[in-house]
Amino acid sequence: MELRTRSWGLEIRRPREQRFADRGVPMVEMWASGPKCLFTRLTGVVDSGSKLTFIPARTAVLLGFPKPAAQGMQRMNAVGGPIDFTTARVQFRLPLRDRPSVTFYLDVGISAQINHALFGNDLLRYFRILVGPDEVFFLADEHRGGTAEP
Amino acid sequence: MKVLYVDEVRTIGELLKSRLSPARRTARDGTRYELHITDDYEAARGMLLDPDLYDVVIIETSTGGRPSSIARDIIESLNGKRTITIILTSLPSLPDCIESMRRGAWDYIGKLHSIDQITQQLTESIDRAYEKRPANCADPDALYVDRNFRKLAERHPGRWIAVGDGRFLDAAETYEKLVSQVAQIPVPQPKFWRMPPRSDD
Repeated sequence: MELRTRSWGLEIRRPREQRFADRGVPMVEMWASGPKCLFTRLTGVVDSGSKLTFIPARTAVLLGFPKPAAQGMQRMNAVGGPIDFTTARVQFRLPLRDRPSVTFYLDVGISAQINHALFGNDLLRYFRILVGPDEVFFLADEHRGGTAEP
Repeated sequence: MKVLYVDEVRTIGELLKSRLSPARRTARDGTRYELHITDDYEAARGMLLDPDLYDVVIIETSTGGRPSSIARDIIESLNGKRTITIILTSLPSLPDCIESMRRGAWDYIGKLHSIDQITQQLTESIDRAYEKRPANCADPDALYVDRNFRKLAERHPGRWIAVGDGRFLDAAETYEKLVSQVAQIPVPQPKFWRMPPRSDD
C-alpha cells in the first residue's frame, strides 16, 4: 500500500468562531460582496455537507441582491426538509495579514429558510478544507510530493 | 459586527457595550455586536491599518490636543473605505459637524441624551449606513473583476489573478508564484482572485 504525501503552497488559517462553539459545528468568518462590491463580514458553517453554498435572504439583501421572489425558486431536499432558493454569484474573501487577500466566486443559493451561511462542497473547487478543534485550514496549490510506505 | 469605540474616557463605551451585549441585540448583518473599547488613540490608528478588523469606528473628537488630531487622521484615512465612522462627541457644534462630515465621517452624534437613546441613535445610524452607503465605498478591484468576470474566467480558468488599482496585473498557476511576479509591479495593495476551474476539470 502506498500513501502519497501532500503539501500545499497556500495555507490559510481561520479561527473557529468561539461564540458558536455550543453548536458544535465549525463556523468561520469571511467577507462577502454582491453586485455593489461592498464587502461585508459573514459567518458561516464550513463542512456543512451541503452540495451548494447558501446564504440567508436577509444577508443577500444586505449585499445588494433583490429580495428573492417566489417566481423562479428552485427546490433542494435537505435534512430538515426541502429548501426553496434562488441563485446568485457572490464574491467571498479570505483576508491575509501582510499578504494579498484571496477572493473567489461561488454561485450561492439564497434562501429565507436558513439563518446562517452554509459553505457547501462547491468550496472544494478552490480549496481543500481541514477542520481542527480551534482553526479551519483552507489549502490550495497542492504539491504532489514523494511517496511513503506505511 | 465588530465595533471599535475610541474615547479617552471609557465610561460611555462600557455602558454602550452593556447595551449592545450579545444577548440583547443583533446587528444589521445578522451577527452580534462586538464592541471593543480603547482609550489610546495612537493604538486605534494602528489597529485600523487593517481594513478588515472593524466594521464600525465610534470616535470621540472633543478631547482636544493630540488625540483630537489623531481622530481627524483616522476619519480621513477611513474616508471612502468600507469601515463606517461615527463621531460621538460631548461638545457637538455645527461647524465641527460640517468639518467631520467633510473629512468622511458617516454620522455625527452628540452625547446629549440618555445612554439608551444614544445606543438607539448609533444602531439606527449603522443600519442606515448599511442601506445607503455610497458606491464610492465599493472595492474598485472587486468591481473590475466583477465587470470582467466572464473574460477573466475564460482566459485564466483555475488560475490565480492579481488585481490592483482597479486593473488586471498578472496571472499565475500558484499563489506564491503570483506573489513574486506582482512584487515587480509598483501597486500598493494588490488582491488575488482564484478563478473557477473549468466545469469539466
